[in-house]
Amino acid sequence: MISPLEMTALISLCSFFNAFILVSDKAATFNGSSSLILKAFGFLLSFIIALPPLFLLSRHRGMGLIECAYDLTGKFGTVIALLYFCFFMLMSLNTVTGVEFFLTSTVYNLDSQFLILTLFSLLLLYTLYAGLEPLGRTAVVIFVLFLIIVALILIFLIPQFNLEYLYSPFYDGLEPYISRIPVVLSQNNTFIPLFVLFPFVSCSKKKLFSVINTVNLVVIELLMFAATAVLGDYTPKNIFSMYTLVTMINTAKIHRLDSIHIAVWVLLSFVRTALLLYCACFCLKNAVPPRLHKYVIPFTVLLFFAGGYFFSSSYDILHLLYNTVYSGIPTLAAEIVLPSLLLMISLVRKKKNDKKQT
Amino acid sequence: MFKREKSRTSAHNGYSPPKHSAAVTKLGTDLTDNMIMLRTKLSNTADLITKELEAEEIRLQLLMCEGMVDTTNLSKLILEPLRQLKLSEKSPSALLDWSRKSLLGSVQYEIRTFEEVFSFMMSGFAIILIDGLDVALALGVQGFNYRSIQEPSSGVNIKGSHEGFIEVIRINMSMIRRRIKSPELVFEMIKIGSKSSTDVCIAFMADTVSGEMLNQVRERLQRINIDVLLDAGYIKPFLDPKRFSIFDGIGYSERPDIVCAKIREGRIAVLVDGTPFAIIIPFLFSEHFQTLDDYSQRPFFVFFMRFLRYVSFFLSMLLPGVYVAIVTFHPELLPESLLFNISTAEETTPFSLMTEALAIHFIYEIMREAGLRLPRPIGHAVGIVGALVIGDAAVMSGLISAPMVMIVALTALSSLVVPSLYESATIFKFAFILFGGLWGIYGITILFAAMMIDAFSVNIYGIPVASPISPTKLFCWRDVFFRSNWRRLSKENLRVQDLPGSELTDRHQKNCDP
Repeated sequence: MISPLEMTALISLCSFFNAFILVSDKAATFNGSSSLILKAFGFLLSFIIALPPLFLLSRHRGMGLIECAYDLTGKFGTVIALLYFCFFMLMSLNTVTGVEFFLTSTVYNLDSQFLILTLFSLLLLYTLYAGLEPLGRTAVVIFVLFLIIVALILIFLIPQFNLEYLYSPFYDGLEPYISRIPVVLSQNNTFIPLFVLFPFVSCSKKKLFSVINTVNLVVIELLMFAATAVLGDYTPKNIFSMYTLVTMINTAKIHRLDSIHIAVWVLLSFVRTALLLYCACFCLKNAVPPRLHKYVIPFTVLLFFAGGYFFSSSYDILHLLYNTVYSGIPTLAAEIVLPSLLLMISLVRKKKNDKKQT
Repeated sequence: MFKREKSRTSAHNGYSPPKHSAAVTKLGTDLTDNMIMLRTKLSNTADLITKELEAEEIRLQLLMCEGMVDTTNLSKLILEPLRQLKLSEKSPSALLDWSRKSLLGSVQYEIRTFEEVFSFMMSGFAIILIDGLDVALALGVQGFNYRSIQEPSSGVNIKGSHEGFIEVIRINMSMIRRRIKSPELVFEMIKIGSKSSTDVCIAFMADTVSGEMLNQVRERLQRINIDVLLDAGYIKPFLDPKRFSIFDGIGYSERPDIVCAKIREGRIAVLVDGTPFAIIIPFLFSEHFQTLDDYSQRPFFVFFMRFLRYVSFFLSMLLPGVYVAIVTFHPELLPESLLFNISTAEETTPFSLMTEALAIHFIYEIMREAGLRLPRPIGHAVGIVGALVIGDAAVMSGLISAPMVMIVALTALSSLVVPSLYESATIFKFAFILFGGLWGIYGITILFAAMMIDAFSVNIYGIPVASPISPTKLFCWRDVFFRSNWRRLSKENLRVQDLPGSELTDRHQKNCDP
């Protein structure tokens, strides 16, 4: 069991990872202020798309999505568990390739992708064997560190704020928002691990969901505000806008904070990938017979390593992965379609039971 | 989910209970036969002292080990009364009856086997064998030499007590008892070591300890299968459920006052005869940063000192690694003047920064080890040679850069601030240098994450060692990074089993049956 604080830290850090990366669109015509609205819109959307799983789990107390699937569909639950396994693998690969791309393109241009991925995979292997509790406890410490660093970044950036950049977010009309709905949808799927791991948390789920959302919204909006006020219209065009933002800190006392940004971002990606892979292992463990349980962690990490290496081997393949993830289809399937299907089965079954009783 | 499975399986790969190879042999009624058997069993050992006596025409044998008995007490309390003895009925049973009532010793036991005779005799008792009886008397007249109570060499404090444990377990027990005059303080004795039969004492407070934890400790101690137990360090691995972690959840203390404070919070202390340290179970990570002086100084100063200790600990691990990572991979982060100085210094050295850092820290560890094991005057000489070699000769010869010497000095000083974490910090220091030199800040971050996972996964008897830092509870922070004042601390006693994340089920109750 993990505490509500640990779960809040885990999910929030997953969301903050997304805030550190803006899926750029170099041809984008919309202005920087729209990022502020897009983030707020994303959170509103995350509330809406979370309704089916929340309804489903409130009807099946003490269960997570996978347990619900087995309870409602019997053996078909294995298919659902495997679908969720694929979803979590896809999301973890998306995360690690992002980190790898950032490191090899921005920081260590000469470093081997293989070594970076090997080191990351070994850390994940150790973490998965350690279990969810140490990961949750680590997340709390990283969460506190992250908040302190965000506060520092904001304080140091104040002298560079240019409020002229903050013009109307609707200057370019509604078109940018409509075109980016799939991307926003894909960036707000961090609650799916929460729905899978609900039985591991000991508190009111609705309250937890609201707390996580509020914390995330406040922190990310603050970061977006700083990015827009400093970078202006360059914010949505830059892939790693937070990195650019941090490199601009140049006060008399603190020279540059690039390394802190690298460290924070690697820590965020570690927590996010570890949580996603933990969920993937959890799904796979439910889908395979008990005698294979001991192979679940090594198999998942090996698959992750192979996938990471494959997707980062060429830009075209990487682009294919990003297009798949940011099409919004995987998120839609995992957070709306499958839970809605299970919810409908649950409702039909209840009706049948009621009829039988009457 | 995976963690639980693992712990279940590891429970079966435990230790076998202690086996006593020697079969029990009962004493006979004939004194001569008993003596022949005794000498045979002891292979005529040189330190066995036997003295045949006669009291009221009954033959007696007085047995003892050389150097273990106080001869003044022996003659005053045993020999003199025996010499002047006048019995109305001259029989062995009458003599035994008289001995029971009249002979004085600190303690007196009646024993019936040779194994008991050996055990008591080798613990400093005088044994009286009476002809015609199959029972012997063990009289407590111990008088072996031991080190007197002195100020402990580690954990020195300014305002508190200056007493430290010594090698004799009974005296260590008395030091704890003198500080807690409560019937709830319980000492349990067991013997470990099939050859050494070393006395081991479990000390706890019956009203605060978790029964579940106590039973686990008892069980693990009883399962220890070892020939000779010479030091508390021998049994520590048997008590540690997670054996492959860099951090551990078992601590040591040389101070009786610290042990008393710990057992008052529901912890268990294990004393081993021959060791001037007590093992404390569980020992939380945050406790490495606490000293006894923290409780006699003012809270704001304690906060400052603890902040210093935490910073020192992280410096001792991270400083060389981060320095190597930044200078090698991210020189743009350094101010121009500093960067210029470092690059000028580095230009004169033939090795890479990582090799330099590894080599100089390795040399430092060699010198530290040499200085530690040598007699003190020679140890000082090693220190001087080390200072000259590292501080001057290495820089002058162009092998090591001057900024690196500064880094080593700062790291070495920092590592001495929290000595109980020296082992972990040293291992991580080398690992951070290696990772920083190979992968820069990325490597440092990955290793830092692994270190956190390692520290947070240590769970000793159901209590997370990183608690209350994480898992956390505000109430428990009253003595972690800062110390609340005594008015607040004394309001409610914090027990280890009530810490956040504790998996122990017996909380807030009188838990054990002493």
